[in-house]
Amino acid sequence: MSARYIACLLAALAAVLPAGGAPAADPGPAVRLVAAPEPAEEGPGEDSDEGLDESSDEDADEDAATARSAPSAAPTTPSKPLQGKPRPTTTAPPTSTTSAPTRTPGIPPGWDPAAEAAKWAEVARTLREKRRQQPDPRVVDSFASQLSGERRGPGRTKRSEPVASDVDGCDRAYGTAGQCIPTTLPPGVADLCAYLASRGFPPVRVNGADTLGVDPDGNRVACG
Amino acid sequence: MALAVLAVAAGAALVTVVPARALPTNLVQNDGLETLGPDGFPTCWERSGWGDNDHTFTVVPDAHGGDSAMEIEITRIVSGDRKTMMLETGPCAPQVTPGHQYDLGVWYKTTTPNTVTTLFRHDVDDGWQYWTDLAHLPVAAEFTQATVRTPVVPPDTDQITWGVTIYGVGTLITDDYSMTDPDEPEPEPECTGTAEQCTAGSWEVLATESPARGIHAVLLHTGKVLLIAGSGNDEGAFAAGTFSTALYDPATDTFESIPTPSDLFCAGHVQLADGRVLVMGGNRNYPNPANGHGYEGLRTSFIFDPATEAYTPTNDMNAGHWYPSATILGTGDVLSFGGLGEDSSGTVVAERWSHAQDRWLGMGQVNQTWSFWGLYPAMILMQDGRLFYTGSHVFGNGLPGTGASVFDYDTGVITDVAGLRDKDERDQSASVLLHPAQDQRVLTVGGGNVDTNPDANRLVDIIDLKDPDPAYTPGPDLPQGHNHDGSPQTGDQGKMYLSTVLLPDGLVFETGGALHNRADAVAEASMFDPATDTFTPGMATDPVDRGYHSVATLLPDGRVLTAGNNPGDGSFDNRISLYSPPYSFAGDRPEIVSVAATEWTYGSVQEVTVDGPVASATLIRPAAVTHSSDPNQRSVALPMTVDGDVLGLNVTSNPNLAPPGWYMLFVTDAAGIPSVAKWVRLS
Repeated sequence: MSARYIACLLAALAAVLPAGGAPAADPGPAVRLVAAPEPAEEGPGEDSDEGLDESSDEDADEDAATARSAPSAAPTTPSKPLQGKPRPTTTAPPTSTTSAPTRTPGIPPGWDPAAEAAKWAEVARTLREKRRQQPDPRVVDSFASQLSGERRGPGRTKRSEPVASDVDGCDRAYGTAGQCIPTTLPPGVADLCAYLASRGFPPVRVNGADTLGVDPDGNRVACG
Repeated sequence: MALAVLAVAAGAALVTVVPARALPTNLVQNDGLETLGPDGFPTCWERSGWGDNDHTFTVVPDAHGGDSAMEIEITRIVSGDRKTMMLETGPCAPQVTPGHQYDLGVWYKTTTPNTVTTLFRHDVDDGWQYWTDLAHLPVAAEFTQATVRTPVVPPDTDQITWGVTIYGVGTLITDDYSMTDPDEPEPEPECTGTAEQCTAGSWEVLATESPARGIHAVLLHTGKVLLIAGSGNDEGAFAAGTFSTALYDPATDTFESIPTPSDLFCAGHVQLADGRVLVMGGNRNYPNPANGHGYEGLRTSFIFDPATEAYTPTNDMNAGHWYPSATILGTGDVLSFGGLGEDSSGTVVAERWSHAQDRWLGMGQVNQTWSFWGLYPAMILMQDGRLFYTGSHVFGNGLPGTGASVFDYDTGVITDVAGLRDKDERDQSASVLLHPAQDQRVLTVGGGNVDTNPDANRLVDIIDLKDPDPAYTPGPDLPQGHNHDGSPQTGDQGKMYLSTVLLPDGLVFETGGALHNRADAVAEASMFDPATDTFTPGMATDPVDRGYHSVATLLPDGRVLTAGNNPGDGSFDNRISLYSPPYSFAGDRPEIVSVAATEWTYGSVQEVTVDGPVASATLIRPAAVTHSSDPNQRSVALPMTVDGDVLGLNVTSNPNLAPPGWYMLFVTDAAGIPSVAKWVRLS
């Protein structure tokens, strides 16, 4: 899951960075990697996250929020962890570097992919931790909503599942229905008769064929 | 302390339980919102929130005190919320002490009930993170004070921030915030028993044995315990048509035999919304060694009514079920899966009991996936109505895939979840939804495999279903005890057939179990604390072996009843054990003096009177357990308003968190000592 997060985040990052150039002066809401203090005043509908809400899908929204939590993005005005989604804030553009000796096309100078990956891995972890503590009683959007496991839809045939008659792990060739001569002896036990004796079994009847060879005298009693 | 329950005082001039003394220090900076920054916004506060909504934050003169209050207006909302929060900087974010609780006060007016107090906490290792929401604040046209008592501050927390969230269209005005430490001295541990009793609890074994084998145990809202045996794994009793049920009354230590109309051995069971017990399926036939046929499941079903203490038949299910699951939904309907059918094969027919129609629905009325869910699959209701198959099951390997899954009944989609270790050795493990149910975390403990018969394991896995992509993560190993020969357990040895019982103090009492297929009982018991995800080993162990066909249930007085043991030699132990946890020996217990109403509704505030200060309240659903499986067991926290000895208990508005039915209401004091329960019915 972390890898998927990282991949999505990096893809989103790469998608909005000018190819071969420095980051845009205003990268737009989906790439607001560094948070800054909120504006002094906001009118109706002018809260700094409006753009995010309108222009980003939920993942991007969350990505932007978690970016604020990254250590390198510590704002001067502290940001607030959010419930499921971030409280997006007015952000400053990513700081470009002037010291990168070389540049790779499409990659901003000074950008260390390994460091970025590590940062976003931490961001993803933090996001999961925040989501882990969602509130009652509202059912939150993120609640088990991004299951990644194998999915199986409704089956098409009403076909029952074969189940062995010794489903309970008891050898029905021996004993009563209420008793259980285990089909497999526990680790370290090789002798059934010793097992029965040590576990206090009363005489155990042999119901049919003596498949285990514990009734050599043929009296239909195992080990006796 | 494990409990994380809140206190919310709604309504005017409510008073929390604060000792008579000098007014405590208000820890909120700029509590009256009177000091404005250069941006015109109160210092030490910030705008917060998320989602798609139109909103304004405005400092208004309509104040409770002084000249300024904060107004948030939402005029359109698709998602998210808005809230004015304390800044997370040092002087603005109040310092807190782990283990303390704090009273948060705010004066407010709101036109919408969609408001809630929201807390964040600063973890010294992990930084700021969302902590919890408290109960909703009711609509108020005039300034009204809400006082909110926080949960116990978790370890490693040094600061918190909080504010009031609005998440619906409307206007919220807040002013004059306060945050105080009630500073109640930590109660000195009191011990009224022996040192061992006060740390490990103690057991007693009833002098009178149960007249019926305790293979199934159902706690009734009358306080009695239904012990269902049917033929009780006794082929002779089956042949004779001798089926048994006993009704044990803990108040009198007496048993009553109940006429039993069918072989309910290995049936499923659950309490319905009205407290009647729905029993489904059971044993149609024992294995026949001559023809290699296995156990066969019944399609019949019965209701046991605690009022008449008698069974009556329902309509039949659509298929036979031997070892079926039974999970009650938020609607009061019941879903049942798995087990063996009438032909002894694994049935793929799902069954649904209709609460409205008081009957089993027909085949065409039930969403069928035609999936075989195994035997006694532990299916726990999630807060959004889906089911979580924990991986705990009975007999043999786990299901294909990861061995645990989320099942959406409405769509029929089953999605595996990862992380359950050794899913093929979780036969007769135990799973439990941890306290509080609002946390949506499940603990799965131990297990073995009757086919391969290894040493049962001590694996403990925990899953947080709130996660977007939940997966089990390893928890602490199950503590080890002593094997049947007295030797200490070693290596990876653990237990199957064990029981996990939710206690009113929020802990899970783990008891009983054995090492191998119907053999080799293990002497070990422990407490699991969901607040710290740790076990406390060394609890007193049941004097009676409790392996296959054993059960355990919490009683309304806080004790735990255990019954049953059916080792491979075919014997059955009919003795009943009663465990008194350490809190039983910790001095006076808080008392619920009265409950204003016993019929509770979702989203309501219920008034109860207690005899002194309490720290928390919880609803615990009574047990209906067999084969280590009770997927309906849950403990639901009740955010609490406090006015002297009168509590207002905020009932969840989400029926999936607390399906309808009778519950035990417990209150617990600051020392973690629970009351005796009162019964209330939630609908």
